[in-house]
Amino acid sequence: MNQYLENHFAKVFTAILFAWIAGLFVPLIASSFHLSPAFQVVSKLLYKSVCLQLPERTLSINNSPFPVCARCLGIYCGFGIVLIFGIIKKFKMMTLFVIFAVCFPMLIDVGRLILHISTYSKAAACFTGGLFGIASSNLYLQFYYSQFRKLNEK
Amino acid sequence: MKNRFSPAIVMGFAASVITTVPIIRNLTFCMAVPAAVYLAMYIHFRISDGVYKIKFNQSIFMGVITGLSAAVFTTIFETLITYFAKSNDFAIFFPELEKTYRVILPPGAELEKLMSMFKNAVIEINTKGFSAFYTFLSAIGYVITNFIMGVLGGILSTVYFHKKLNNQNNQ
Repeated sequence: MNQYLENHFAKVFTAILFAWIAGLFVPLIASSFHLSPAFQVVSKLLYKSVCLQLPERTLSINNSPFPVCARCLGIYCGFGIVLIFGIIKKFKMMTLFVIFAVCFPMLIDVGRLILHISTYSKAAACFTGGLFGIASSNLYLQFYYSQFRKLNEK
Repeated sequence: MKNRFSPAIVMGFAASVITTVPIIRNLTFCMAVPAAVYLAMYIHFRISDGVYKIKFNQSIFMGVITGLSAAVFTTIFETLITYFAKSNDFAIFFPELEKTYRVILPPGAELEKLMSMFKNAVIEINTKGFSAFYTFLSAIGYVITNFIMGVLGGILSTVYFHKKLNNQNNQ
């Protein structure tokens, strides 16, 4: 079991990450298909520790709010989309400079908010968060590919 | 052994402070625990040999320790703050949350039952400052989310450190 987990950790953890990202859409699906209201409340409590969940910063579809704020939603969606493409087709990795450059807009957006230069914009937060998610996913894919390389070497 | 765990536990504590204490927590978002793992690994390198070299299994283990310690400390801090303040974010936002749910969800016995459970929890928080039901649910949430974020932080930090080490070696 341990050996199996060691060999397939990347796959198992990637599946957990996908489940985690898919969980963001559970309230939306639950309200669309009239599923149990428990899904709404449990998802709100589950994502509480990773996001402030302020109602004025949360995007909603059909009056159903996401359990995380616009920025976090952008990060997870950016991360998930690049991860899917990265798994389907192996692509070239970003350099550290490009990774920092891609993360920079989000830092500027957060900085503007902290310094009260501007108010919170859901679109800006979601977009800059998405860029940050893309950079993080790129780093994660390096781990993913390296684990498979290791398996092939074995 | 002691040196390997202590940065993770200390940074888990720091992450829990950042994500729990009002005002400071407004500045954080989902990257608090991954950032704590990164700093824990950085401290680990500084107090050991100073070389950014770590295996994935070690970094994942470090991420798990940081995440779990953050979950434990966050639950403790939140329980204490709720006890003394007799209020928390959930108790404040619940009336608004209830309104939203009553609009988007179909009415029924299940919804009423669920809402009464959470209303009881809010009443307990506002009167006694503690609700076992709410604390249990949020502790489980913290353990799951911080575990995932900790492992993710460990993996991303290791890839970053490996890249940094490669760059240093190339120069």
